[in-house]
Amino acid sequence: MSSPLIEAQGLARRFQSGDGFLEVLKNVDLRIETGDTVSIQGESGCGKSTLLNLLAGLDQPDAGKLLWESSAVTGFPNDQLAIRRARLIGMVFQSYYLVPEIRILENVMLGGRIAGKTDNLEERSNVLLERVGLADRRKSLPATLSGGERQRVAIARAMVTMPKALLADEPTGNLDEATGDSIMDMLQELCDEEGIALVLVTHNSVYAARMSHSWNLRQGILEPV
Amino acid sequence: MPWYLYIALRHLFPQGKRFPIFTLMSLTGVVLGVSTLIVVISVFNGFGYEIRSRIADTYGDLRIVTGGLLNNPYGLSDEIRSLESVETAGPYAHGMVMLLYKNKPLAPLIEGIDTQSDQELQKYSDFLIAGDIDDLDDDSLLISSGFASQLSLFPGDEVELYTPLMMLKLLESDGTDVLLPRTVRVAGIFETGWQRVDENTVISTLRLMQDLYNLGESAHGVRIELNDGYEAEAISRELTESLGNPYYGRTWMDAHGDTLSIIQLEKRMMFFLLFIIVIVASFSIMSSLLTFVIRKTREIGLFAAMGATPRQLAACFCAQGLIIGVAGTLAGIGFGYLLLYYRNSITATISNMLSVADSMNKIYGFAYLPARVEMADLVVISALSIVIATLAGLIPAYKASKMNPVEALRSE
Ligand SMILES: Nc1ncnc2c1ncn2[C@@H]1O[C@H](COP(=O)(O)OP(=O)(O)OP(=O)(O)O)[C@@H](O)[C@H]1O
Ligand SMILES: [Mg+2]
Repeated sequence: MSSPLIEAQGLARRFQSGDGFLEVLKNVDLRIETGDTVSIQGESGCGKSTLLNLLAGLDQPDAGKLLWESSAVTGFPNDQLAIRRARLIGMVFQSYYLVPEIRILENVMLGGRIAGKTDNLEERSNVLLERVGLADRRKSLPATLSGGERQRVAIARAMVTMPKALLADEPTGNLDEATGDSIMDMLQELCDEEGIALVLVTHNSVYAARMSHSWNLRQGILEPV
Repeated sequence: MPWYLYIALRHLFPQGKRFPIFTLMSLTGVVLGVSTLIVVISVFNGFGYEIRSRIADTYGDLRIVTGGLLNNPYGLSDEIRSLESVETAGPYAHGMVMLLYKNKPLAPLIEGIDTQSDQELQKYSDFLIAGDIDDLDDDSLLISSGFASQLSLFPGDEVELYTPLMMLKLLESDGTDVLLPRTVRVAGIFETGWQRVDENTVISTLRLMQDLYNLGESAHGVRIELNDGYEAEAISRELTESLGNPYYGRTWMDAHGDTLSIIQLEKRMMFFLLFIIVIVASFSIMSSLLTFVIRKTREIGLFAAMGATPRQLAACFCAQGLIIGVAGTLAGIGFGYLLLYYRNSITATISNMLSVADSMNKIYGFAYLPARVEMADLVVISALSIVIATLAGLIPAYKASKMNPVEALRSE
């Protein structure tokens, strides 16, 4: 059995809420291996985004351990974490967060620049833009793109760093069904081709069923669907 | 280029869009501050330089004097002239006379110049606005322009001179002597451009001064012009030492330093006052950048999610202060030079509008606005404004680096 890319051991996370605490995650165990596709479903507010942020090292757990490629990263200083995250993980969100001041191609390249993966960056960005069907819009500004097009750019931006795992938090949440379907197809295809593990947070059980592992987050614990 | 500098540039100068108003305002502040500083400081330099060169023209860079009279002035002059750093040297005598023309008396300063020196003659020849330097002989004077206009004197007019020596004689003789003035001719009228001299000076030959003051072959000192006027202080010390008692050197700074140190002081005061413009500009940079950081919260969260370190995030916003500082300073220097280039038409227009054209000449002693850009000032002004603008980016940068990426991404 290969070593896992991302491993969560007994992760817990709670937030201050009024006088008491809101225990969002209680004891989450999760292993993500190279090429895995994983879906996480759950009611709104159950803690899916919180879990994804913990897996990405953007947030620190109150208890439990996070391992990236078998080494513990819990409690690492922020800047070291940032450098390792850039190498390992790509992220896609429900909102696209494109930088409005720069053109589409530059937005995609920015992913590689921040991650420090600048070899053939422009070439790779162009290839990815072609893959997501936006080659002819590379000189456009984000404001001129539709929601679906923007999400495609965001996906290309996450892929350009050649991550080993892609964490997607409701990537189709803001899109109509048809557009959502095509984005999902594209996302899955790309991850499949590149051998990238995909962790998909979604409300859509059809998309969830397409993953090799499906989880339900309920009362702070992951249950198999 | 690191990504955070690239993003900093693009935040300020977006692709394919108009110049953001924030960039424009921040730049304008720095440009105004820097250009005003450069113009005002350069004009002060100009005044200093002009006054210095006029003092040097009339006083010389340096004079060798004794407590009393110099017995062998030409010998000493020759000795000094043989020094490498000395351009020319010659004896002079100076004092005060009472000058009477059509019963109007005035008491100008008089200086007897070395007429054996062609350079000295050439200099006054250049200053002449009427008459001819060749007409200057031992029975004539060159009269400064202000003085001439007070008495309505023209070349060829004759005036009467009384010296303090004559008065003394009159006193000693209990008034029994008859006062016989020396009658001399006006050979020319000169104007140096320096009000102090133009108002109240007459020039004669050394011989005439020696007669008037009963000096015989003596003089009051040796007037020296150096190859490099800035060496005056050092060479003065050297000569004081090598010539020994009773000779000592007196530089133009020793004689007229007060005027220059006032200008120096005013220059410094203006610098601090005007630098406030740059500081105010930096506050506007800071407040704009702070709002900008807040507006970009989600973007900052995204950068963090993509692997940006807090330090890079800080650098991104600090760099925006730096870029505004550098761009504003460069543009400010350019604009400052432009203002300096057209300064005379600008001041002419303004003084015409206010009808004060004459008073400027009267107050400052110059008919035009002198200006001189000095490298040292440029460096200080540029360095300080860039540093201040960069400092203005520090607080916003700190704020950006302290953002929690999760909360930044969650923020609406
Ligand atoms: N920083 C925080 N402070 C306080 N409460 C928080 C914070 N972050 C999340 N929460 C709470 O934790 C719970 C889980 O939030 P989270 O965003 O993870 O839900 P989610 O499963 O992603 O929901 P959705 O499907 O609507 O996106 C929510 O009740 C939320 O209010
Ligand atoms: Mg969520």
